[in-house]
Amino acid sequence: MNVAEKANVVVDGVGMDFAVKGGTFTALNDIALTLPRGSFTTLLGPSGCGKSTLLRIVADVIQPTRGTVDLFGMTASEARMNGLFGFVFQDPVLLPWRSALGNIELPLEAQHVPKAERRERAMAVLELVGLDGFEHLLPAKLSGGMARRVAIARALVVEPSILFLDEPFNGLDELRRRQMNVELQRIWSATGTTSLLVTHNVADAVFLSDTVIVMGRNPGHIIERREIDLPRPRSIDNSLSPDYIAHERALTALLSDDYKTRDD
Amino acid sequence: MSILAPRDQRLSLPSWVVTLIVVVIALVVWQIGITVAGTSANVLPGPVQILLGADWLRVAGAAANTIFSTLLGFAVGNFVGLALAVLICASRTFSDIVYPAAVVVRAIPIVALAPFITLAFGRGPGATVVVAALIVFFPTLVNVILGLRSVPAEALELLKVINAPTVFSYARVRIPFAMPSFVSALKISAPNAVLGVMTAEWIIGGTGLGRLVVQSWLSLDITTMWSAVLVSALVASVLFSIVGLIERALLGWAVRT
Repeated sequence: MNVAEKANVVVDGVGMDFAVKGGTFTALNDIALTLPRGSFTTLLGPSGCGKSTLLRIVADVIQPTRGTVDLFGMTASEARMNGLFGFVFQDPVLLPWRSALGNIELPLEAQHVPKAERRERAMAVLELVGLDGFEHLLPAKLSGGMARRVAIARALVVEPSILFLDEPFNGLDELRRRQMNVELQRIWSATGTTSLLVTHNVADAVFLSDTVIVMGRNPGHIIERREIDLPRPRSIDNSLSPDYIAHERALTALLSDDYKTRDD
Repeated sequence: MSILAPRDQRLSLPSWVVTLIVVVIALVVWQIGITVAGTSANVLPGPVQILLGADWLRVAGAAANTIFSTLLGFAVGNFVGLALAVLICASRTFSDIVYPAAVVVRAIPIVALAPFITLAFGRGPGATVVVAALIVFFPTLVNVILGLRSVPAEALELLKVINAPTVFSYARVRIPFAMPSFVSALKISAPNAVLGVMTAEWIIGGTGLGRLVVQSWLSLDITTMWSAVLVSALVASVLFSIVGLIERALLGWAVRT
C-alpha cells in the first residue's frame, strides 16, 4: 500500500452543522483526534452524540462544516478516491441477488480489477473471515453472523489502509456479538489495518480497542480519551476479569456524567 | 419460512390447473345463466354460441395485429419509462425539465390526443403502438423512480466509499434494486397495453380486435363481437402471466416467504 510517510490519521477542529427549521443544529463541535497507524480506536457514546456522523466525515461520506481531516498525508477525499477505505455498516447491506462471493467482489469490480484477480482476492478474504465453503450462498441463506462476516470481507477485499466500523454487530444476540468481537480482533491482528469503530456498547469498546474516545451530546464533543492497555489477544473468558470491568466502569461513569449534566 | 404445514403435505393443485377450473366453471355458469334467463343471443350469447358462431378467421387475424401492436407498445413504453426514470434520478436538472412534462403528457386524456396522433402517425399500427406506449410509460416511470429512490441509504454510502463510478452504481446496484418495482409496473401495464391498443383501434382505426368489436357490433355480428372481447381478455391475461414468469425467473431474490 502506497501511503505517504505521515502515517497517522489526524482530525482537527472538525464541526458539523445541520440546517433545521429556524436555524442550525450543531451535531459536532471542535473534534480533534489522532489515530496512530495500525491502531484500533473506538468512538463510544450515546445515541445522538454524532459518533456516526464523525465516522462518516473521516470516511468522506459527508463533508464537515468546519475543520480538517488528514489521512496518511492525504485529504479524506483523496484517500477515498485512492481506494484506501473499507467500511462496515450497521446493516450488512448485501446485494440480495449476489452470492457471498459476488458481494465481496463488488468493490473490486467497481475499480475494474480483472476477473481472475477479483476471484482470487475475494476467496482470500472469504477465508480470512472464516466463510470458505459458503461463497455461493445468497444473502437470504446466510445467518446474521455470516452476513456480518461477508460485510467485513467486502470491506477488507480492497486491502484498505483504514477500516471503518459503524456498530457492525448491532442486532446480533449477545453471545454471537462477543464471538464476532473475537473474530474481529483476530482479523485486525492478521491485517494490521488501522480501525475506527463506532459503538454505544461499553463492553465491545473495551474488548476491541487500543483507545476509546468517549463522546457526549449537545453538541457532540469528546469527553475523554482512554487507553485500554489490556494484553492481546483478548478472549471472552478474560473479558469478565476485574481489569476489563475496571475499564468498563470508568467508561460507564463518564457516559453517565454526560447524561446527568445534559438531560436536565 | 411458512409456519403452516410444509407445502407438500397440503392439498394443492398447480395454480394453472386451478385457474383453468375456475374459467371452465365461469363459462358453464354463463351458459346455464343465459339459458335459464332466456337472454337474447343478440345481446349476450353463450360460450357455445360464440364458439360455433364467431368468424374465428377474422378474429385470429385481428388478434395477431393487436398482439403485435401491444407487444411493441408495451416494449417501447416501458423502455422509455425505465430510461426516463433513471435519467430523472441521475440528474436534478433533467428531472426538473422532464418530470413535469411527463406529468402533463400523462394528464392529457388519450382521446384528446387522438386527432394529433392520427395526423402524426396515420391510422395504421403506428398510432396504436404510440397510444399503448403513452398509456404504459407513466406507471413504469413513477414505479421505477420509487424503486431507485428506495435503495437503502447505506448501499449508497457503500458505493461512495468504494468510489464506484456513476454508471457502475446504476447498472450494478441501483437499477437491480429497482427491478421489483419495475416488474410491478410491468404487471400493471400488461393489461393497460392491450387497453391502449384497443382504444386506439376504436377511436383511430387499424385492423385489430378493437376495430373488430366496433365493426361486428355495427353489423350485428354479436358472436364475433363477443369472441373479440374474450380474445382480448385472453391476450391481456397471457401477457400478465408472462411477466409473472419473468419475475419468478429473474427476481427470486426479491420474493419474501
